[in-house]
Amino acid sequence: MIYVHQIGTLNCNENEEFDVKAAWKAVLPKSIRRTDRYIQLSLLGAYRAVEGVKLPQDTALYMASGQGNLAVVKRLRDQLYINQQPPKPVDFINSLSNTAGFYVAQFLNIEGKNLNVSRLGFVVETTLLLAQNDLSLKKEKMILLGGVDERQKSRSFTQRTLGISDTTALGEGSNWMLLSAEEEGSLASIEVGKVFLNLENLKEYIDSLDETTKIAFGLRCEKADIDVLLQGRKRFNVSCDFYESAAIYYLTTFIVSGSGELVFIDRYKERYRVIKVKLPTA
Amino acid sequence: MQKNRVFVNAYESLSCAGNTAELMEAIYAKKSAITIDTSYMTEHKAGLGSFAPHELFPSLISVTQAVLDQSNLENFNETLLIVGSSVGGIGKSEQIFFRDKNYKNIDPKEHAISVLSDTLDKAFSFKDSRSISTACTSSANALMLAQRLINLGAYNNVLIVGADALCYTTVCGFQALGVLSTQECTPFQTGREGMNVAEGIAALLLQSSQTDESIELCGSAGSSDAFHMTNPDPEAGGAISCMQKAVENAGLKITDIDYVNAHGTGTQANDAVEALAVETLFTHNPPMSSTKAITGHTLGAAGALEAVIACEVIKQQKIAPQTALKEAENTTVNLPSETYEQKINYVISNSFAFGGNNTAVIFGAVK
Repeated sequence: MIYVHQIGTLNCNENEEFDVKAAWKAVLPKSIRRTDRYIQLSLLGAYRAVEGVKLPQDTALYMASGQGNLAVVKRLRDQLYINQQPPKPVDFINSLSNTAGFYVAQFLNIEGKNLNVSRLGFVVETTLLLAQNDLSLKKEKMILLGGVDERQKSRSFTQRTLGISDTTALGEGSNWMLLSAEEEGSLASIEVGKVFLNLENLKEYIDSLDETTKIAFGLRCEKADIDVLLQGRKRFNVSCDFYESAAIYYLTTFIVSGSGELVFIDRYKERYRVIKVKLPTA
Repeated sequence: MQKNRVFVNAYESLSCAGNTAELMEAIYAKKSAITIDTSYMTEHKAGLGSFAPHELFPSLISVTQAVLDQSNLENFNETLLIVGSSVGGIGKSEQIFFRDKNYKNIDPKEHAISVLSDTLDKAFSFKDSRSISTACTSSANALMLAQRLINLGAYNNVLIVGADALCYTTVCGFQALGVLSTQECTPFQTGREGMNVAEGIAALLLQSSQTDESIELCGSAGSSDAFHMTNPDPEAGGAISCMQKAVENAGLKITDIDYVNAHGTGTQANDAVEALAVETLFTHNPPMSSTKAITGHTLGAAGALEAVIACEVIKQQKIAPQTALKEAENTTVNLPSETYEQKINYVISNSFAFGGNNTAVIFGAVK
């Protein structure tokens, strides 16, 4: 069991434009040099999570992303292949997976382990599981964990990258949680299921839950799954267009506006994982 | 909580110096496998480490198969795969682009870091897989995560694969940063020119069970000094912190470390700071060398490749000398000029990446 002590959200649906520079200026008058939009989204989400909190210097930073900083990768490719020029040093550096993590760590003055996890399917569950393990083993005392994905200009390229249908609306977000193994003062507890479930196992699991437990479904879950699994239970709905790390937005939204207990279910390639969130009773 | 111990029970690698046996011969004979290349940048010479004619994807499978053959497993169905890579499938995308002169036929999924784990998963059907990408610490971080998962009892078998291939993006990118050497790199040398980008694959099977051939993964730790995006903290705070924490994690004393396999890229910034860190922390002055003088810097694969080297150093009980060193910049640290036999119980292997991302892993003879 791990505990959420702070949260910060930044979610933008497909029909919304988010001016990250303007939002950043409202926080800090000075821009951070050499950063691009993906890094700025990361910084802003992390800042929102820990605004006014002095983090211990050994706080670890775990970042999750489905597609990483895809825009700079495209820019780099254009420089190298189309313009046949050497990459701009700043773009080469920003294309590294851990660059955003560096800027967040530097901005927040934290020096713990800095990890970037990138994959399609269960990226949040995987990263939370690493955090759960490291906190349980007392390898880390506090972990700032965020999921960041930036919407790309080309819808079709993003949809192909993510392996989703061409009718799926695309969102973006930078959602963060400050985690520790300490219950005192926490906003919620989180328990990540360690094993994959098939549909049958998952049905059994849901049957075993208290009837007041709400269910939320990740963006890769299909309507047929939902129909089979919901079985008259109360569904927790979140308005969120697709990005791979959106699961954190679901969890933080429940922490802000929900009550009781939530089971978040996600799916990838016919396998399921669950995250249980429990809010403290008043 | 009772922690499961972690044993390295099988491993294999491929680098510009060949397979693991050939690599160790080259290291002990001080024979660099770097070649001077102009194919990536016609106007600039660059020292590169290429494993041609081998190719990334077939070699990924053959190296993994070699580990399975050495192991006590019949398959990898109950094994977690953790891949550490910095480049992923970029080289493949480059080939398609240069052939077609457009992006149309590039599959984004074949470009990503996860294409390596997807390829291995298709070939071997792992229980689960994940990919870690933290630049040059990628596969060292994969080792650290594997250790924690086995410690916790979440998995009994974890296969770590570090893999990165040469491509235009990295060769030209490091050239743009001004850190590429035109010759074989000379780690820790006064007036060194820079690094050699290289390619490599290394796979290690970590298990909770011990065999007669086991080497123990005793400890690991990471830190982020977040000092500067490309330069390490000049006071070596991040490097010292992660090595110290790794020693503590292993339950050892600083003086227990018998050999330091340095990150030692051959760049001005890295080597000066790493030497300072080792000098400051390891006051008993254990021998230290960078085997990148033989293999070049295999980027995301380096942590796993150098883990294989660390295991071999313990098995062979022979210190790896510092190749290509004529005059050391830091004269306090112990950079051995020749191979020699010594009782070696514990080896620390360092990996440092841009962004001040630092990882140290400790291997030991099983006791």
